[in-house]
Amino acid sequence: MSMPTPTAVATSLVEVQNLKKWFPIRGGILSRVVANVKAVNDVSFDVKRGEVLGLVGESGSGKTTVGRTVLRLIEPTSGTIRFDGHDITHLPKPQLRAYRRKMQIIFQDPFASLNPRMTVGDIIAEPLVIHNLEGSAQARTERVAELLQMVGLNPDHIRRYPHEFSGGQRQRIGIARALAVRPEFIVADEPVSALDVSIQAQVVNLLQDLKEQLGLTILFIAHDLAVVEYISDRIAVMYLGKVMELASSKDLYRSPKHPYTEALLSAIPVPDPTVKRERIVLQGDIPSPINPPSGCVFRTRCRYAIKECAEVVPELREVAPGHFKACIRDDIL
Amino acid sequence: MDEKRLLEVKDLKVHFFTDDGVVKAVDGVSFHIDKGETLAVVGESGSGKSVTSLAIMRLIPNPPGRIVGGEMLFRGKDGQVKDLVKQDEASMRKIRGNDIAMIFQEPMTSLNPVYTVGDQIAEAIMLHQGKSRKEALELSAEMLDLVGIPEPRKRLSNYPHQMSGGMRQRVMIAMALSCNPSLLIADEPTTALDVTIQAQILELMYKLQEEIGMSILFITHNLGVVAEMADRVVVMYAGRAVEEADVTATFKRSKHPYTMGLLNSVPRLDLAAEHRQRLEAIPGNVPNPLHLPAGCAFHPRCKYFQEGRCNTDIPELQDTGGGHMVRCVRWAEIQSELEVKA
Amino acid sequence: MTRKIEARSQGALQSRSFFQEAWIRFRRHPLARLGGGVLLVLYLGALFADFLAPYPETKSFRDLTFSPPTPVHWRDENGRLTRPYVCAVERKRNLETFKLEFTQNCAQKYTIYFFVQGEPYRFLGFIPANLRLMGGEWLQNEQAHLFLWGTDDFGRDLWGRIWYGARVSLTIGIFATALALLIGVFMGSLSGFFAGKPLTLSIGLFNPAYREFVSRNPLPSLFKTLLWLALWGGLAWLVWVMLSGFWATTRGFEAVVFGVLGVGILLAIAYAVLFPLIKIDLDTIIMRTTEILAAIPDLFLLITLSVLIPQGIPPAMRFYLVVCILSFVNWGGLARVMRGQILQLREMEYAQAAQAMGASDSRVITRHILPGTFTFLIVSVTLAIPGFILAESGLSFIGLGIQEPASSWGLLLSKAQAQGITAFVDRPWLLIPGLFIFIAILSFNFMGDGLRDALDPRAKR
Repeated sequence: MSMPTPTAVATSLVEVQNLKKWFPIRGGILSRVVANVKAVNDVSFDVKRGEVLGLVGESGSGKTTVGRTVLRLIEPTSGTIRFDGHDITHLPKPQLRAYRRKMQIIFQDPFASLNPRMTVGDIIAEPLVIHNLEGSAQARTERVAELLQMVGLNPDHIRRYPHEFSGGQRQRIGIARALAVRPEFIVADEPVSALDVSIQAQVVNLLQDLKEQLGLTILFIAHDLAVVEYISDRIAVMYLGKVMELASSKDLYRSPKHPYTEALLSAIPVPDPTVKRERIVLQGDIPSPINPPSGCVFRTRCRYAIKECAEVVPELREVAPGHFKACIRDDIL
Repeated sequence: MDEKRLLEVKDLKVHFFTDDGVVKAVDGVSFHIDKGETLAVVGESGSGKSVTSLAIMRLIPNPPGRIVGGEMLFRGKDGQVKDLVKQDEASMRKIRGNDIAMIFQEPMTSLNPVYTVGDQIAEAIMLHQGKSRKEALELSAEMLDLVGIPEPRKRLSNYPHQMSGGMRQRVMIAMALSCNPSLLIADEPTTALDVTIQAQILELMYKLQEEIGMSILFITHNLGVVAEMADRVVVMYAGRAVEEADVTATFKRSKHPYTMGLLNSVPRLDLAAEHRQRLEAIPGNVPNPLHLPAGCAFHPRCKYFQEGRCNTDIPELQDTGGGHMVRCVRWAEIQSELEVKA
Repeated sequence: MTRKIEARSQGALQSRSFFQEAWIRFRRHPLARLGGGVLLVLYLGALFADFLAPYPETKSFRDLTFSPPTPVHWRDENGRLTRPYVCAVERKRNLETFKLEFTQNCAQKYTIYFFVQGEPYRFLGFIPANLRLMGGEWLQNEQAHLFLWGTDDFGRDLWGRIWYGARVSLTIGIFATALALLIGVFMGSLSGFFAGKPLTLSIGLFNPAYREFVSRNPLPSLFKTLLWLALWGGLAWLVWVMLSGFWATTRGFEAVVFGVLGVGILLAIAYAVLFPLIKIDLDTIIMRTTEILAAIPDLFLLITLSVLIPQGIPPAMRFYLVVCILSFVNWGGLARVMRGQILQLREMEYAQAAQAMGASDSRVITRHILPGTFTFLIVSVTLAIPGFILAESGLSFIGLGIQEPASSWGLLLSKAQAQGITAFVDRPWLLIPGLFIFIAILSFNFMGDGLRDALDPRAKR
């Protein structure tokens, strides 16, 4: 079955097609697979060179799994991942290493992602050592100092340990590490979710500056639509392992086409007491990804759901130029 | 104490005596809550907002923490005013749950996994209202119904792990409200929840407050939630209240540089799409509570910093009119500076 | 701008590594310091046992069995302080009570001298020395005796034997832990790394996976296939040889049984070569083994294995065999926790970060996973040692561990129960080895507690 996928050919740096990741649940004495957690269930998108693609979703939507699978940190169940036109889905480890230099990741938890037993200098230099870049130790130290400066940290702190830094500073260290090998593509997995509000803005601004400066392509994963809106050129909204809507961030906010996006937007509290909006409160909880609803996965909480929604799996289709949605109804929104 | 006052906290000081030194987690905080009012306490990590709420419940882990000063006058259901700081443990137990109830951030860990939901709600009711188990379970089902849990009677026999995060938070609310408390302390009740679930819980709390008429002390770092829920706002930074005002004044006419900075650093969905400006971040880091900067604790990050004034003395909380309190020596100058710019 | 602000907001903090911080936390723990101090004293005592003891380890005085501690006199008959001295002691049986009585004869005083030349010994086993803490000419001439803590059933000095025994009792804990650790860490790591990743043992020629395997790496797989065919062929040949052997020697009903069995095995081998995908889950195998070990009562297993040690082998050999038995019984627990640690660390984001950077598996393991288990290992080792010491004491106590004439605390303690409960009342000094066991165990536990508090990252604010 071929599906119209929202992929452009020439300018895409990363292309993901029909990506699936099912985590088996084993049970019984023989550890037989009794069910699958369908974390990512048929997702397609592309990230154009130099753009920031936001990936938004609530917990259990599979956004983090997508990020890790794109980098091949998790092996996909099926589907293809292309980087710069090359299929890297089944690339064996040694060949993959060359690509690892071009793709990096920034983690959510600034406390868990830095090895507490290594100094900041060692942490940032590690990718350089792994890929044998910069040659001498002296050159590496210089590069580390340069990177620290780039992310707004004092280069004198090179010999300190991660626990001596605050959350925001640690996240900067994580960013410096990701940038050390001059990657083309970065997956930022909820990089600001664990940070305080005032620090969050610093890191968002830093990422924006670095993107301009270094011409990075970023897959920005977050659950906070407002943050994503700020930094992204385009946004993909995920729900229960599927992409619900994909559009430029302006279009997505101004005219959401999918009922889920509409509800998500209205659920975000606006920090302005004078703005009183009508809010769509979604009823119920996110269904289990082990047994997602038939047809459209969102139909159990959708206020526009009709009988056909349970029968047809909606395809992601272009409803306006560059605006894709996975919903069979065109008479709403 | 004024008739309409429910709680009046005066000059509260909570210090933690750690091996590395004394952490002044709360250092001279004063505020009040009126009957039926929602007061939001806003701050980042380390601001002392959660410690304040625990101090009101007298749940500060001791050691290392201790309430070292101040008073917390609370009007009980019987109309008597008591100083919570001076109550002994036995009378605090009567107040907790009965007069003041609390819901926490993590609905996963605040319910006991080995008892059914019904047992846990009924236990609180039996303890404070002296009802029989049967009556208590009956009331528990009513409470679950009140917080919008479908099929409440069936849910009574569920264990916490059989429920989703949002459901559990509803159970927590049902449990907190089961004894008709006059004050509900909500410590980041929606932080661990998804936005769509957060919206449900906020709406529920709003509705219940209308119906029951309790006061809410809402502890959060999410300014969006504050704007939706609060009547008045206290902004805390490094263990002190830096600004206190009603919600509109806080968001529209804030006078403390920290509050202004905080508001500017929040990504705004409604503004972002229209004109994409940069976020105005507050530079620097949240200070180490062991080594607070001298003078105003915010001065190292403040863009209105003035040598010799900001870093010498701790500024007093001043009333700038209409109950709008600000802790900044330069607030008037900053106001006029901003007006000139505008 | 940012630089300036940082300078303003951050005082000069001293930069400390993880272990420096841990050391500071450890020193704040008074009980741990006490435990550490006591252990240091005990281990030094064991090291310098020859120096501390006035007699060699096996020197026995047959006519002075169960002698009580020799009284040391500090004052002369006139009550004036003098150098410490002892008197000669005679043993006589009281003909009314039929008890042995030890009477002092202070006609001659034997002054105790310190740092004297005594019986020669070899320090650390090879440095010839004869310096001893206390003694005198009279001691070597056996005019009088110095038994600070009395003697045992062979009339040997208990004070000296406690320090000699400390060598066995205190080091057996470390040796056994080290060995158990080695096995446990190795097995646990294997188990942890391969958890959820079954290893493919063999792919049948007609299994679909084989074609994929060949298509992925055609040339090396040809070599591998040949090797693998040779392996299975060899196995089949072995079976065949054994089978024909059996056939030749047993001609009757058994021959038929072996024949059927053998053909069955050959068919199974042929099947394995052709069709299935055989995978083994190292994790499952190792973990089930530890569970089986854990299901057998430790004491039962210990005793059973100890009985297998042949009698009459040299004491050193026996020592090592006891070490082996102890660690064999106990490696399972360490393996389990090690596996848990590795599973947890494998999922840590910094390990994944290294993977994302393109680090090889071995780098992730050596740089990020193993160092993380280090603190945990230190703690669990400290807490495991007392268990081994107790186990050794127990074995020696019931006569299955260290045996005469060597010495260990458990063995020494067993003398106390040799002659029934009256021995407790009449000869209380024989219980002193028990006190040493008690103190050593307690100290290890205190220190382990302190180390855990110091090294546990969760202890951090």
